[in-house]
Amino acid sequence: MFKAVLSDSNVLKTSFEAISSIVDEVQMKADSDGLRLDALDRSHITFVHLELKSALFDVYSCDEPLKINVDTEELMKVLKRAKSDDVVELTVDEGNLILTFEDEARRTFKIRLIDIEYEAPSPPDLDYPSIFEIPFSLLKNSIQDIGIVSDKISLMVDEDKFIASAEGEFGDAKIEYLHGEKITENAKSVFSLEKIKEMLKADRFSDTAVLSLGNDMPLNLAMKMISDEGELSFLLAPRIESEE
Amino acid sequence: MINGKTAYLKKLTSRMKMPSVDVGKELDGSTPPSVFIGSWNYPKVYAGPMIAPLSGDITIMDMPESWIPQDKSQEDIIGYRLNLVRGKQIVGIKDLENSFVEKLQDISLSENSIESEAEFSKKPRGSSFSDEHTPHGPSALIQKFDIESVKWDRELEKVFYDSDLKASDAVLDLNNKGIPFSNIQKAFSVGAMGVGKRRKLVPTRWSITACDSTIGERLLKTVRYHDVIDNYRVYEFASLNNYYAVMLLPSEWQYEWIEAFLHVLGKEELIFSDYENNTGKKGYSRVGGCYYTCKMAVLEALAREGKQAGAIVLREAYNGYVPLGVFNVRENVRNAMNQNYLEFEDMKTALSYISTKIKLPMENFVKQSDLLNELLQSRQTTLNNFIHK
Repeated sequence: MFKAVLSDSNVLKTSFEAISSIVDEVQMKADSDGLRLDALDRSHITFVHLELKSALFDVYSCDEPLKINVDTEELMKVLKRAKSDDVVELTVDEGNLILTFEDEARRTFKIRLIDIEYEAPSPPDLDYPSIFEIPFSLLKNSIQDIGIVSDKISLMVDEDKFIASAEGEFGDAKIEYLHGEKITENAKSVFSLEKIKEMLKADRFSDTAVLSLGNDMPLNLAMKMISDEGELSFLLAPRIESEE
Repeated sequence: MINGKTAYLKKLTSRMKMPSVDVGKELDGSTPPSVFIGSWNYPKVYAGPMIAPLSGDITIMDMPESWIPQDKSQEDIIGYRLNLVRGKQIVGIKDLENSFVEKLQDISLSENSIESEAEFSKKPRGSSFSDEHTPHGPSALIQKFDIESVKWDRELEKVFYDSDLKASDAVLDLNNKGIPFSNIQKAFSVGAMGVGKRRKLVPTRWSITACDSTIGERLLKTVRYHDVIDNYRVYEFASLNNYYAVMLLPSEWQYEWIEAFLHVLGKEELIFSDYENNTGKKGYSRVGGCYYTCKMAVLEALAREGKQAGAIVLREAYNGYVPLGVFNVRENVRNAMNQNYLEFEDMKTALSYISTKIKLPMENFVKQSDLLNELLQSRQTTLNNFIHK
């Protein structure tokens, strides 16, 4: 028997806003510790990891480990119907993931489970020289600022500042932020703006984002709930300048 | 720049003065079957049949799909087209329930050429060349028009009687069933498909792009699910004073169309381009209908193979080139995609191979392009690149 009740539907909604734009199909694993998901997009550019610990849920029970395979677009369609004060209940029956939203009425949706051969992707294990925190909204705004001039974004960190910048054909843009953290090594990598935008759709998961940067290394963007009961993180492969 | 290509092609087509067929006020002949809906004065447009003063099977005259496989020369094609006399009447696009439009629908759904008789208000004159539609011969207002009884294509007939089927779904169904593009487009343009009340006439040039982009978008939805190819590939094809090279990249879908017109008018060397990244394109392409038709042809081949790739398509049009409509691009690119491809380890060697086949230096193409230029400056890595470090 699997059952999970969450009084805040936003956690699921915001997570899957991002996940559904990155992968079409996904496998969620449920066990007594909670729900987790690891997925890699088809072109192997973005990796996403979601973990919702059992303590986050108002009610959580899972007798035996369970794999829930769903089409993320279908799941998102249903999640979009949830209002923010709805209580969400997740259960599974023969072949369906059942979502129930409850406020003055009880609304039940069944999503067909899909048959996929799913090999949980293993992301590269990376050592980052520079790890720091910034407000999520700052990151989101920076991306929108950069979008005016370019479709690539350079993310850079030195001992004082975090700098997002781009050079476009018709103009340049630069956003500087005093991070106030102890950074000993400068780091800089360039990313596709379009890909970062997909990750940043999860804008209600957490107020702060932890960025791990290196030189021409993947970006690690992690969002943790204050209570440590949930984590959503991404790994994004960089764009690398050609040698000549 | 946005109107640069339109202006150039206008100049090019306005110089096309070729003798078209000479017919009188009364014409006894056949329609291949073929219809033409103009876009001038929309939504009250000039619509009508195209008739040649010939009898027997003349389907080839309005079947661009057969021209390249049957090795027709540019002269053959122009000959077919300038023999087609365009009869026309002003018709409101929603005004489908009259015997004239019903005859046009009859023609569009026909399997075979149809014996036709027409009477014009005066002797048909002139000819029409355009970058988007296939050329045709003289035209005149049509006063009386009769056709023999018609045998309909079964698939088109089904779509015609299904007034709950959306036009876009009908286009896709017919395409999946292997109905030739030009037949689908003709039926689409005369309002022979779609949800009952929403049926209308669609100008020929718009209907071509509507069908190309409807099919292309649907193919793209499936292609996005496929695995990316392993290497760089080059497909090529040359015909009708054009050279086409399609370079497929081992990446998710992205697409650029770059075309050069070389010494077609005089000493000019003009390059036009447009592109989309993985999220697609907003608004109508600045290079016109060829953008969508080429995209459809490339996606068709990818869907058939069950693979995903990015595509950079280069085209050169040389002296002697006559704009024959976007079919030229569709059929050339389709033919390219049906040839064996050459495989390359990296983009540089793929491009240097293409360099040996084109007349302009590659750097001219790169300079004009957005996507190709970008790809040469930096490349998107994958997470696999970081796993063994």
